[in-house]
Amino acid sequence: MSNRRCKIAIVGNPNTGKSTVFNWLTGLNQKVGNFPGVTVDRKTGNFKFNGVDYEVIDLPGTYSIFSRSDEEKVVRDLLFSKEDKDFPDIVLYVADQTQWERNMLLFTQLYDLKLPLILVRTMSDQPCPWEVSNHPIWKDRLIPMVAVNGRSGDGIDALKKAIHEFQNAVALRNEIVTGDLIQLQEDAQGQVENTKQRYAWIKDNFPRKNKQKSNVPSKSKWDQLLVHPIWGYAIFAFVLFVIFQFIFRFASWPMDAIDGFFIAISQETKELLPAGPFTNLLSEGLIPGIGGVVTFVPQIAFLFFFLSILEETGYMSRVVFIMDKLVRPFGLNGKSVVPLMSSVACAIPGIMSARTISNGRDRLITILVAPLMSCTARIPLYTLLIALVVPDKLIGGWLDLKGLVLFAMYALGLFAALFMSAVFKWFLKSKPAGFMVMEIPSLKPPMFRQVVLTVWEKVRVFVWDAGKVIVALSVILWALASYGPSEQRARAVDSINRPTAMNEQTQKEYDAKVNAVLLENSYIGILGHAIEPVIAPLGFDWKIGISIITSFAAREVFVGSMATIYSVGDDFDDNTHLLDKMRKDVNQTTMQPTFNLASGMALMVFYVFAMQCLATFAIVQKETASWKWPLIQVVYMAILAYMGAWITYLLLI
Amino acid sequence: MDNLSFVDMIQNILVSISVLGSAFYLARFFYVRFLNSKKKCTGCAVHQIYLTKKARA
Repeated sequence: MSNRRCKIAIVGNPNTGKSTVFNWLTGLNQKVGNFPGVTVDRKTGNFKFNGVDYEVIDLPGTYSIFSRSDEEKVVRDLLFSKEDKDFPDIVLYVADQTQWERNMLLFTQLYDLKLPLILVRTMSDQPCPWEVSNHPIWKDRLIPMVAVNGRSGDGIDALKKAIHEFQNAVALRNEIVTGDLIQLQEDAQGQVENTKQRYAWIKDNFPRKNKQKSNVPSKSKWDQLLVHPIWGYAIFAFVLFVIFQFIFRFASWPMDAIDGFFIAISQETKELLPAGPFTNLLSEGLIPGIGGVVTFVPQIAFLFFFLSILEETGYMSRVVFIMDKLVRPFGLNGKSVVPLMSSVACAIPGIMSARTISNGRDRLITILVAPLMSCTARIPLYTLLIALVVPDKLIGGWLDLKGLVLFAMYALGLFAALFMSAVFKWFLKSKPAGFMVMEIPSLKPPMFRQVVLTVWEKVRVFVWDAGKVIVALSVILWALASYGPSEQRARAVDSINRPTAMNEQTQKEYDAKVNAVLLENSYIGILGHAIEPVIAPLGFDWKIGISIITSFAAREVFVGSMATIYSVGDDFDDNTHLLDKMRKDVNQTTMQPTFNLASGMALMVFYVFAMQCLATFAIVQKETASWKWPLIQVVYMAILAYMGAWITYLLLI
Repeated sequence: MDNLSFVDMIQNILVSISVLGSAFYLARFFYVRFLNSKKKCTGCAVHQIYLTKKARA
């Protein structure tokens, strides 16, 4: 064993403490990826004990070797395949001793598959209602058994010792229930019979200590409140309110600080390095690109901090339970609510949190509609356009029209998400005999160590996996906006009248005009002109076209692009000058103001529906492990955006 | 070649490397993702049975 790395797989039912055991064994030495072909988390880690390297793989929770979900198939495929590179030398079977009877079904199956097993009994600080310790399986040392307390870490050293001293006694084992488990994979009736025999064996071999006591745990007072038909929803609404306050208000402080930090680095780079294209690439492309990734970190960290606390305490299962019937008619399930609500802050963590949805179709629908929820990146765009086209008016003497329009944009996003969910439900086929089995774990205080590890893992996955793609795409976008046909650009610059007497002000104005003309004649500018005939029916001109193209990197880029095109220099935060210039601008085709109520509202509706976010595209590709779905998402949202904007324009013109 | 044009040349080379490097990284990234999305288990006992049955059918 000391010559090579020993592979350990952690297997067990959901909510038994597998990840806790995994985290205690491996600490921060973890890697998260996907199993091939499916987006099921593949968590691996390693540790060293007495000079031997151990590689641990934390497999998804499963109730039986007869698989239904992707997670269960991953476990089945790995444990049935001795040729698999991940096939374990040792299987740690983690069983919750307070749910012993149910946990033993999968154990008996693995036992009969002759896998090299160690049994890990979790919740060892809780009383075990079954007679467990005296069974011949452990007494005859056929299977080593170790009790572990996930909260304190007691028993982890004993577990490492048991792993180190493990001796496979497979040859001494007799089958608990006869029958070929591999052949039974396709025999539903055989599976039922086999399972019945196993439960009979479990009942005979592990009798309850107190036979009078009911097997069904009674609902606690907390549970009566948390799943109450009225109070349950009220409490959940309050919890969401608190989480969003943190995400909107408190995450904005570190986000502003990070933003300021990267702006300062950009400016310093521009001042320190000699002027030239590479300096521009660094200061206008690469550094803002990295900044654009890192800026999202506080939001992601805050969201997953709260989500993991809700998961750890067991509250999330209760939320799923009460929300399920509300959203099911739309093709979603209870677990979709948190990803959708999270998408109001940012679709990226929302889509990432959809991994908790085990039903593949419901998860896919949630991912496909999540970007329709209005995220914070749309706020600068909404505020700019509302200030531009919506009149200052109080409805009924107290209701501000601008505020009402902003609310309407959010409501439109929510209704669109529900509507599209219903449409996708109709299109996407569900597997037959679908049913939902939900386990409600007991309420318990969260384990801080688990919470920190979850936040760290989510932030790391976003920064390293999605971040690299976003930065690379930022570089490409910068190049398209900075280069163009050189003769055309030179002619355009020559056509600008250079003031005879240059002072600081005239120089600034001249530079701004040159920048605007260069952008217009860049490859992206040419593209903006090229799409003008397509967007003209919506009341948009080529300048809006450029902003739509550049803001595919991120929606908030729209304001920056507008500022550059209307040549107000770098003063992006002060929208006053930009607003004046946009107000005065005239559409050369219609000879009407470019931004009137019809075109401004159409543009807002366009951004409610349009995908326009590279990071979201990258994360959807990652989460669905396919190109088909992010492309379908871009197309359907673009159609929705175009039609929505067109109808709005026609209604208001 | 004066000092300024040398700096320009270096900057242009670095820009070319960065843009081509990004394009290459994206192409490779998307290609690997594409390959991974096609990968399915074919080696385990369950799939061997399925495959044999399919072959027989």
